[in-house]
Amino acid sequence: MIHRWNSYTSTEGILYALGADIICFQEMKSSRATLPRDVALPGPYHGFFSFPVNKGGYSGVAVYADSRKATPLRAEEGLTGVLQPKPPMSPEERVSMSYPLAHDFDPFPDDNGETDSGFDALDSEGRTLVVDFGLFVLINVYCPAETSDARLPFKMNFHLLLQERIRKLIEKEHREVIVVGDINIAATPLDHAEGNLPSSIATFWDHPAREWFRNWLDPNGPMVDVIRMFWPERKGLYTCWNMKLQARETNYGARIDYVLVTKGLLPWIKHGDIQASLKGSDHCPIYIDLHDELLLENGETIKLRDAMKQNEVTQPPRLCAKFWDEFSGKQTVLSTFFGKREEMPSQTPSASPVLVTTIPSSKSITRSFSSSRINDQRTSGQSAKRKPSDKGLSSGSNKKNKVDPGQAKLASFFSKPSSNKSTSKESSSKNESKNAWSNLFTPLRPPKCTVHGEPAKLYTVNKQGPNKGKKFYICSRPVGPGYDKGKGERLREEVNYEYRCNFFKWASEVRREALQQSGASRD
Amino acid sequence: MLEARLAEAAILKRLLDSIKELVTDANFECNEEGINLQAMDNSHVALVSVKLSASGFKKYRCDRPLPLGVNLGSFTKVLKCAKDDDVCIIKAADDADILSLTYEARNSDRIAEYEMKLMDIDADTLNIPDTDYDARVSMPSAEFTRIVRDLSQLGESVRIEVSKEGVRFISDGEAANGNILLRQTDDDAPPEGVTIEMNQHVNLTFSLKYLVNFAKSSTLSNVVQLMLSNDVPLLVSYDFNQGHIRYYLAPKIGDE
Repeated sequence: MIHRWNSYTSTEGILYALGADIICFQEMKSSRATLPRDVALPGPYHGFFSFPVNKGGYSGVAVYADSRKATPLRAEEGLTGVLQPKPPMSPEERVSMSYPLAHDFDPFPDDNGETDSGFDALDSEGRTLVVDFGLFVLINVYCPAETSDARLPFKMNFHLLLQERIRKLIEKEHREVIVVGDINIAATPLDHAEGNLPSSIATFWDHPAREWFRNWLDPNGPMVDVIRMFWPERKGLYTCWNMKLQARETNYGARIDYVLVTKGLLPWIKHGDIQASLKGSDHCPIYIDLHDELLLENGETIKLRDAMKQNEVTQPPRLCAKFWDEFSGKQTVLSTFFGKREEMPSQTPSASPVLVTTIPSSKSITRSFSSSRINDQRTSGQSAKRKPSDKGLSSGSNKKNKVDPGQAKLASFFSKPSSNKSTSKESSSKNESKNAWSNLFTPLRPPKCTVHGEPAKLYTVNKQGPNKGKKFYICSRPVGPGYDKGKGERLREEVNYEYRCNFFKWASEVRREALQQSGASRD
Repeated sequence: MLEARLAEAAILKRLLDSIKELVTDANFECNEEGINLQAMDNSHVALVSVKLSASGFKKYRCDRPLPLGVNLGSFTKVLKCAKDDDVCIIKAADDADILSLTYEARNSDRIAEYEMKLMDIDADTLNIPDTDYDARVSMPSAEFTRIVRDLSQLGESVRIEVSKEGVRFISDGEAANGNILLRQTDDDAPPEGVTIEMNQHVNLTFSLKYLVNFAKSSTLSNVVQLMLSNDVPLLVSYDFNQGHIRYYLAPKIGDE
């Protein structure tokens, strides 16, 4: 299956190619101020966005609904009802009558045993959109990742808040709910590449988030993990891979993205799956498909359109980006006053081809999906855009390779002046120093890893710290379940030598050894 | 190739400061007459147009038109490395993928060289029609900065009204409103005073956040000119020795 969806030059084209009527994105990594018009208003799609309250560039979620197929009745940002547009929403505009209250659930304590983690803060990172489609309330969510231990209370409290919001929707308002998005939890050992290693299975449920998730999911809780329902035994049903480890090649991943539905919706659901072959992000798309009509027990047929109350909708809710001041028509745009210049006639032809070579409007897609997690898209867009500078980049890094091969010690040039050398002719010593220099500048031959005896792969430290920029070699094999992370992190009996081994060597060390060798061969 | 020698780096630093919030990437179009830049913000509401004329440089040479696509954030960083009174030399080869900048210190032998990657930018260029504006207001740029900054505390937009009385800036916020009237000053001409030329009464509404942005250019010139006609974008113009920076801002409608 080859999708060329990321070759589309407009957001509308991308959404169309994805082929769904309602499309949810997580990690928009954008902000309202930087959202291009094309991404906010893609043709017939109604766009809904939630961005972090404080200037971000991280997180952020979006829902697009194809206006020809489904228009929401109501839409709101966040879980608590605190995030309000100006002027605030009227009761009719709100999805719910009641919202979670801080005392409705027992918050997860932080390190100091304190529980006041800030109820409002949970909603301030642009992680949730709640959109009412009549038949169901769609919640598009990007649950926090546990980036550090300090974030665990935030993560857990976000889950508890989500659960409480949905509990109210189900119990108090008798609504059906679909939760879509990145929950950031592997539900069972089957959903994690390492889940079935003995050491992992034993402690799998010890993590409070996993325990919480298990209790929220059917049969313990109200939410049905529909995609797993359709593929109960399927292994490797992963939705997210570590890009730094190139883990997608070997499907060394985890399933942390879900479509969860309440039981009342199950009859509507025709199918669900992941689209692991659709590249462009460190996650893959997942989807469910609903029946167009349903035969009820009393023999009546009900159409999905009617169940979604599409006849009652005349226009999308106020949260829709098309009503934003900047797009609503209140603010005019310059192009209505100034005509577009076709081509600059004053310019000599030598300049214009440069402009023509770039892909039309590649700029706007670049923006759009650098924002979401479609990374391939971003890189392809950039390579189109950055063509000339890419050259500069590579030449720059080549240069760097030459001058920055790890600082060699002077000793490696001047060492071992054996006593008889003093009589050697001047020319030969000149030659020698020339050799030494050229040795210094020859590319390093990669060392071989200890387990497989295969040439290792060169990496550069990107992490901030004293080693930043230093180069090192590690085993070139891909990662997989049981790959050797080192004695501290991997039980010896669980190491799978098919995958990456524990080989590590600084490039500077490799070079030093190479120099010593060449020095030795000279002697 | 391009080689331009600017007596003081300060002018470029200030220019960048006044456009970098509005646009992220832009083409500096260089030709024998000088360097021009035209760029629109993301939402296509504001446009900035910069001209640095060849005569404003100590030395200027550009053999054929050359677009220099620049990331303004990176450019700002590179320019931060220059002292305000450094001599700044900009160089680029014909099919350049880098722009080189040299800063020569005024009172010492320090010479710093920087190189910045260029990029291909396919920006829409707009044709700005010559317009006879109904009203032209000149005022001290510091006064304009203060007005938009003050009013931006209250509301999102400002109504600018030019009448026989003078020029009035009005903002209605949710919690507070305010208006500022400037009359023509009879004895003072700009830069200290205010002059108003008017053919017709003008009443237009604009988004304040853009105007606050524009006002950053007050470091380039102590006079600002506002030119307005009904139903036409506002022109905010700052002229300085080497050239000008002009902003166009599309009006808001139906906000009254």
